[in-house]
Amino acid sequence: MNTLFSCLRWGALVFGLLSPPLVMAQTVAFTNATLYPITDKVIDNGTLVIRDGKIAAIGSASEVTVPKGAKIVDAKGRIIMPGIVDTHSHLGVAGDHGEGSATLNPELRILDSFWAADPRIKVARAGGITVSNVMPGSGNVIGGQTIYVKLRDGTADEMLVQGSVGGLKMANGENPKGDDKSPNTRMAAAALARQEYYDAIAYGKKRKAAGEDDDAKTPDLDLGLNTLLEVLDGKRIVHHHTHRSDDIMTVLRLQDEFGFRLVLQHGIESYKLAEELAKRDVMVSYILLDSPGGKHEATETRLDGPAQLEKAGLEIALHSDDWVIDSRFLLRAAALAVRGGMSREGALRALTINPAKMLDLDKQLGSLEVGKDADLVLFDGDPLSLYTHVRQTWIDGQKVYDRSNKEQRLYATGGFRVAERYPHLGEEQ
Amino acid sequence: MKISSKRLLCLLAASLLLPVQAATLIKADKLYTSGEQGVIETAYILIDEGKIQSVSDSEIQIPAGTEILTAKVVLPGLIDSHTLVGINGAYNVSADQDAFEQSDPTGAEYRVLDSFNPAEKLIEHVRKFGTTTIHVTPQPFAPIGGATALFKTHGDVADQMLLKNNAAMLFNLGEAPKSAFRSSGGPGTRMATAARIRGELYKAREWMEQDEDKRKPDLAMQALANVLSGEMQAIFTAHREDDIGTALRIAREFGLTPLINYGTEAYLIRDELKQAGATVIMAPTMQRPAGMEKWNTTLEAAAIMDNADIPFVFAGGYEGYVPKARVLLWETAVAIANGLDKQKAIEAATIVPARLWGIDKQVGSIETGKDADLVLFDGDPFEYTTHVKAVLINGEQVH
Repeated sequence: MNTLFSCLRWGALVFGLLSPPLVMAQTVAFTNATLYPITDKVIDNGTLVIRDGKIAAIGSASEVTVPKGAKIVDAKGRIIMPGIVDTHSHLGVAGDHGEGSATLNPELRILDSFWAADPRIKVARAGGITVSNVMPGSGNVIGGQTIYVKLRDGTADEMLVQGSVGGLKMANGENPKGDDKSPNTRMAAAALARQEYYDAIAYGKKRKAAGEDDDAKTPDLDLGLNTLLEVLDGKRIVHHHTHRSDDIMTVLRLQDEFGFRLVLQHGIESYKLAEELAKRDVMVSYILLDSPGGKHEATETRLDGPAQLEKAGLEIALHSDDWVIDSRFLLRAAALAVRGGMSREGALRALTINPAKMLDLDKQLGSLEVGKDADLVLFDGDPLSLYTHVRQTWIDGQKVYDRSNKEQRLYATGGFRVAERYPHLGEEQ
Repeated sequence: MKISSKRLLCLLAASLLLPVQAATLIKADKLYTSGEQGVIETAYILIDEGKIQSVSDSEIQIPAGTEILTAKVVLPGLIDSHTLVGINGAYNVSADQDAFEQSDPTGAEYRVLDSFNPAEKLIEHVRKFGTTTIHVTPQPFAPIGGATALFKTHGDVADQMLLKNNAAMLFNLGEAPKSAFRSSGGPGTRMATAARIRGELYKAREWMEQDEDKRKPDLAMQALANVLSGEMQAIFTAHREDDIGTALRIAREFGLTPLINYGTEAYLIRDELKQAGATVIMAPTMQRPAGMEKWNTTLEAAAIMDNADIPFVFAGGYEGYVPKARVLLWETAVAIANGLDKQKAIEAATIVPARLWGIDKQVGSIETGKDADLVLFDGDPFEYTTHVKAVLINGEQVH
């Protein structure tokens, strides 16, 4: 961990040297805004002040004074919401996220596959996404370590959310099963996971027994089991791909055995277990698909799945699994959840504060509150309407997407690779 | 009176064939007819015997016992101009996949009617979102994929759901054919794919010229002859600009009026498309950009086509993984949200495809005498949070 932190410090230092300090110190005031704090009531005619990448003040125009010298952005009544936090994404790692040589890969770090220059990251920003949990694929029982990244410009290391550890990707059900490789049954997948946890426990005991100084007794360093020890210590959350209700129960059974912290990822049939999940207060990050199928375990998808989970008392997240759902359409998933009966407020929480909790980042992200990161999305209408577009996306107080910029707009519409030949239709600013 | 069991059976059969159905009156706050009556605020649509009896902007006399339905907005049933729903099942296992015949890269003799499964759950799924007619095509992988067909999305027997068989022949260009057949002796390059198609069409031209009594019956040749004679339309799957160019080239060689399927980069080749008189069966813009040829998908594609005055229709397309089908309502909605006029969008999902596929006497608009295929909404049809209140096919409420 020390290494990671020193990397981050080093990265931050370089960033500080390269970028003019003025940018970091800039104060911006959004005035005449309709503010959706998410954790508080909507503020009409609100003012939001951001400074040094953080939210410095929020309130109605009468409550908040615009600081002298602040750059003023007149929101013209438009809605500002916290940046969308996506708990499940494969941005930047397409083609490098499914290591097929083994099924137990806790030592793999998706950071080592992450392509920071992937243009789809800019596409995601045009959809209002500001933070993503980028994960290995679901073709392995243990896929590897995930990273929580800000979709800001920079190298992979610079994009990491400062201080975040990341999670561990696990999977059961159809995807980790192989016709000609182990596991080829659900029970074998569970057995492999179970054995790996027992191995980690034994490894941890040996290390503890050896103490700090007894090199002779210290077991050889095992990067994979080390990672599982972080999971068992609660430092690293398990993001578990699982769809069918029986597979979900298998995950819960493993959780009962080993006590790891858990986010159920996808959970297409989780609505069938809504009461059970609510009783256990399980974190569910749901994928709301446009149509059933594509594989057996996805055939029971329902538009009212999120509504049923909400009704049972669960606070869920909605995710993209980019590119299963294009990041630009994650907001749309929330709108469809409302079509299926979910509350508007619940659907907006499912894009912001709830996913932030699932990444252990809710103290820093997910709502408009003083002290939190200035990650914002500015809309030209109701965020849940078809007709609304993301106008601007801000990360750490920096504008990273602006629809009124002709070139950036192409990340929202598509066609950025042929920008010079794209027949721009033109649009209001 | 004693009724013999045989007679009872006959009666039952008759009642099955001719379901006694009460008339239905639909009162819509707003009706998009896609016909000459245009848009009507406060409309009354009378339906009986599966057909639209009248469309009026004032209250009408209705027979006793008429069922009354109300809606904020009513649209004609939507027509998906390119889908694999019904042959490309939701489970995505070999048992329910009947779209891609891998044994033959030039399968002009295949007919989707022979693969179509009325019980497929994806049919019900798209119907729930207002799709009442589907143009089902084979897969996008074989240079010559086979013959398409149009179906209603309600029924138990494919032949009864059928609106038009052998509507078009599907030719596929681009990435898919060469990746699907490379290891089995099929084309491994774009030029080989084109050569296969061209070769078969030349063979068919020769076959046509042979004496009918002397030539060997050949289903593939007959099907391609039907394309060459104009009896069947020719659809070319092409994403990339150069593949679209190849489609236009082949069409020119054989005197065909090309329908471009997907046309992901059609917006880069507008003048040529216009010159060729081509119609674009739009790519579902929500498709995943899997494969380089889809990289330049734009949500504004339909608006750009409309600006360039190139005819287009909407489609759900083919999906190989999750989710297994795209929904026409959403494709239309996204086009509207990205610059296309709403009424034009509705037409591109109703009357324009009905005319394109030659079924406009029966479907595609809400006009007297046509099939009563309608969709009832409780708000703006395209808004995400609106609901489909009801779907009627042949006057029967199927959702």
